[in-house]
Parts: sequence; structure tokens; C-alpha cells
Amino acid sequence: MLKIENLTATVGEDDETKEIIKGLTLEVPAGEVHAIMGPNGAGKSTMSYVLTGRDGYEVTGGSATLNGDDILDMEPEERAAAGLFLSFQYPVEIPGVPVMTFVRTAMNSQRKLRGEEEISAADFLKKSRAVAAKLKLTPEMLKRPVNVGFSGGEKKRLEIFQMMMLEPGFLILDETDSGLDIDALRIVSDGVNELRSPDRGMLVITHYQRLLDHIQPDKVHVLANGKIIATGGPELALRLEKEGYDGVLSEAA
Amino acid sequence: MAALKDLFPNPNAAELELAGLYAGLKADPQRERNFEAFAQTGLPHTRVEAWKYSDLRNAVQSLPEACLETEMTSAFVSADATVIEIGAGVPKLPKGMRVASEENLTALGGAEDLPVAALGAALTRAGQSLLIEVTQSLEKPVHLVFDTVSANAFQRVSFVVREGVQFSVLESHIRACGFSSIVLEYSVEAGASLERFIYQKADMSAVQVATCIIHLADDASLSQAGIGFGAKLARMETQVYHHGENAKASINGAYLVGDGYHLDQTSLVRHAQPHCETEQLVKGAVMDGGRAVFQGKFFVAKKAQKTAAQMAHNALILENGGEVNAKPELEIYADDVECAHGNTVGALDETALFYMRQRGIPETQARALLTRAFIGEALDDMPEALGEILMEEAGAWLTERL
Repeated sequence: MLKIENLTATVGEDDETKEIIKGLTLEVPAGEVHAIMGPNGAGKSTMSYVLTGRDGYEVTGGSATLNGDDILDMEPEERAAAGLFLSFQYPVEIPGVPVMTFVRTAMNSQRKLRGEEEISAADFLKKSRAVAAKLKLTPEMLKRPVNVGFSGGEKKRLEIFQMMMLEPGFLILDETDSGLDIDALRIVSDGVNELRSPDRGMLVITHYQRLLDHIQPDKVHVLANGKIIATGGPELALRLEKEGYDGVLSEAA
Repeated sequence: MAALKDLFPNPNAAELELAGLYAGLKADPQRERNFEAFAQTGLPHTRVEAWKYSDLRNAVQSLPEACLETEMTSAFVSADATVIEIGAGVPKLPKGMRVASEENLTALGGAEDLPVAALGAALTRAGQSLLIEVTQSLEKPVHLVFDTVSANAFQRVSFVVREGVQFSVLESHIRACGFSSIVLEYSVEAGASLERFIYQKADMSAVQVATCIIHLADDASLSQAGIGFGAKLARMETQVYHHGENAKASINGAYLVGDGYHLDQTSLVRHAQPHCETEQLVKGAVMDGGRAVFQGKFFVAKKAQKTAAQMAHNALILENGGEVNAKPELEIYADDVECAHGNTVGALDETALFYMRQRGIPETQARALLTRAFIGEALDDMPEALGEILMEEAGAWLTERL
């Protein structure tokens, strides 16, 4: 499903250019959930921005494909339409644009890019009501501008709301657990688990084992200094939690 | 005529033509006062402080003889309102309004500080200068449509909104070419309220000045909002006088200025009495080659204690080459007031743009949506149906250009 081979990428311009991704290779087959763990500065967020096409991140080598299609040549919106969804570590405020308008615009834009029909207003409303109820989002919240005045937990729930509405083929969850209390973590994890399916892949980026108690990964990768240095089963996450990154890092070196 | 010519130190062709128009009108002492007030300045240019960002003299080199017919309509045509055409003779008015005078040739108050308004008042012909009394609240808003196609248009309408009456007016300032100066006066009596909504759009060849002077008595209120797209040079000026106590004014506005257009929104609010409130929010965006001017001034007299006045202007520069000139000013002589002003000029938030694109919204659409939402805040207080009409127009404008 998602296949990354020997990817290298830089951040910044001119004299400030810095190589952050240094030969990253990773494959997540459909139906699997992989976790990426790693110390601060390892390149975790950079990897998610490179894959989703954010300005200022330049790919200098290697490849990344989703279902065989080269995503690195696509505009960010085309990658979204191809099924790539990034749940932001810090979801962004969009003043003046209500949640419902935003999600409906996003859904119809993706459908248009894929050459599909727009969703009818009635179908959209029905679907959004059902999803909102599951995530304990009130209709009033969906009328507010995207993320404006939302608490940390509400912002993350809104990310899950968008995922469940847009039903992307591949999810990247960037530090989804940051800023969540136990209850919010459960609601968010339940939402993610509900999206697990044989034809969907997920990459869960996290600092802590805690999230992986709720979202159990098929594989765990350790990202350090811009590349994957160790891969294992869920037990690798437990070992990292116990020993810290130093043990795994020194082994790899 | 010789004396008239002497009034101008170095008249340009347009000023001579304006003097010619004046000479052809019926002589009248009030008209003369108005014209003399204009002649002191002539067409204002950048060395006149109030016009330093809008060089009217340069924009009006000469007066065209006729306009090529250009189809331009106001977004307000779809509003549920009673249309009143200004300049097409004495208009038929709905119940609750009456024409008190067809020749409203009083001298304009403060004319020396408003040379272009003084010119507009001086050059009105019969039926183009009306004094209208509003004696009761109307069922529907009134939609004022000014001359759109005459090569040059000079019109003046003065309203007296009687005590306790609620008056809602839509103004369509549309121009296909030429030079126009429209003068509006609203005298809002005690406890009365005025809602004023403005739509301004013009061809790139038009030069358009509209000056509105609003007087608020005790407990009177003003709620103003609108959208402007500019012209070769358009200046929409509003002056508000708080003459009574406990009067409230909100004067908001949105603008979108494209390549080759210039829009100047200038306002002056004078607080002469205590306990009055003013709120102002102006938000806009400019494209490459577009120029927006915001000049806002709050004047608070020594006597006007407990004045609460807030001014904010926020602009987006959508492309390199767009220009915004802002001059917010407070002049305060009272010592127990809450007054503030804020001004920002910036670009669209790149992080927000990326977030939207990551969700599948193409860049141009994301930019249009963000810009529309940005300027829309200035129209939030409008009645929903009217606000939507203007926002739809803004959305279409942005989609066409981004």
C-alpha cells in the first residue's frame, strides 16, 4: 500500500537547507497498522510533511508510492484525493470557516479530483450526524469555525471526525496522543480502531507506548537520524518504554 | 467666469470643465457657497492631507462626454427592497417617506473640509438634490440606486429620520465610467435607528466619490456595513457626528481590490457628547496591482466623557504587488474614555492553507475560502440574507481571480 524507498529530503531554503530524512525505507501493507517511534528530532514530523507535500520540504532522492502511484509528484490536494490523510499534531485553526462547510468542501473537492459525483446535502448531513454522535461532538461544535476556540481534546476529536467522514485509504497519525487526557484518548483511539480495515493502512507516529495500548500496531519501527534503524513487533515498543531509545540506538550503531 | 477661473491657481482641463458645468446651472447663493468651498482646493491631490493616498486630480484629467454602455448591476438587485432611483426626477416613495424638498440647495456643513462633496452639492440639477423625510418605520428596506451611466453624475440626497423611526437603506454605488460625486446626509433623530448597507462596484475607467454625513441625536443608532471593489479611483467616505448622548454607531466594511483598481475608505467619527459608542471593523484584501486605502479617525471632544470607541482595520495582501495604505488615528481630548485602534496588514496563513489542501481542497479554492471568511467578519452584523448576497458576490469575485 504505502511504500517508501531510500527517501531523502531537506527542510529550509538556500543556506538554511538541512537534510532531515536520510535514506528512509518503509512499507505498510493494506490492512496493517505500523507505529513509528523515535526520539525528538529524529524526523518523524518531517516525514509526515514530506509524504503529504508541504511547501518547504524538498525530496532529494528515493521514492514514495501509494497503491503503486508516485505521490511525490502530486500536489497536496491530489495526494489527499488519492487517499492520504494526515492527522496533525497541532490541528490548525481556520477562522470564519465552519466545520460542516469545511468538511463538505473537502469531501466534494476530493470527489471532484477523483471524477466522482458530489455528495448530496441530505446524505452529508445524515453521515455527519452519525459520526458526530460517536465522537461526542455536538451539532453546535460543528457549526463553529474549524478548531477555533476548541480545546486540545476537541481538536483531536475533530481530526478523527474528518477521518471518519472522508474515509481515506491511508492514515498518518502524527502524535495524536499529545495533549489528550485518558477519556479523550479512549474516544480518539476507538475512532481510529473503527477505521481499521483490510483495505486501509495506518502509520501511527508517537513518542510514547501509551497510545499503542489503545491502538495496537502490527509492527513498530524506530526512526532515528532520518532513517529506520530497527523494526519489530509490539514488544519493541514495550522495550523502548522500559529501556529508552539509547539501548536500541547503540545496538543499531 | 473670469472670477471663477481665478479661483483655481492652475486649473487642469477637468477643473475648467467643472467650472463650465457650474456656470451653466441656475445661480443660487447656496450653490455658490458650495462651489467656492470646492474651488478653494480644486480636485484634491496627494499634497492635500486627507487625500494623500488618493490622487483625485490625477485620476480626473478631463470629463468624458459620454459613457460606452457597460452592463453593471448591483448585487442588491436580488434583495427584498423598495427601489428608489436617484437622478431620474422626483421619485415615487413608499408610505412612511415623503419628499420634503426637491431642491435641497442648502450649503453643505463643513464643506471646506469636503471639497469633492461640496462639488457634488454645487453641481446638482433639479431633481438630483432631494430632501426626504422618513416619518415611520417601513416594512422593507429602501434600495437607493444612483446614476450608473451618465458620463458625469452629481447627486445629493438628505434624509431626516424622525424620532424613534427605524430606517434601513441599501445603497448601490455603481459606475460604468466618468466622474461622479454623490452626497448623502442622514439626520437620525432621538431614538431613531439607521441601517446603512453599501455596495460599490465600478468600471476601471470610472472615478467615483461618495460622501456620507450622518448625524446621530440622543439614543440614536447607526449600523453600517458593505462591500467595495474600487474603481480607477473610488472613495467612499463616511462622517459620523455623535451630537447626542448614548448614541451608538457601528461602521464596518469589507473590500476586495483587483489589478488596476483603487478603493479608498475614509471615515471620521466625532464624539461631541458623553456616553456614546463607536465600533469599526474594516477588512479587505488586495491583488497584485490593486490599491486599498483605509483612513479612520476618531475625534473625542473634551466634553465626551465615557466614550467607548474601537477601530480595527485588517488587510490581506493576496499577491506581491498589492498595496494597502492605512492611517488609523485617534484624537482625544476627554480623559475618561475607552478608545483603541488596531491595524494589521499580512498574507494568508500558509499553515492553514496547507491544512486545507491536505484535506483535499485545491489551493485556489482554499485561498478563496480563507479570504472570503477573513473579510466576511466585517459583514457578520448584517441581516443574514443581505450579508449572504454580498458574501456570494465576494466568493465569485475571488474564485474568478485567484
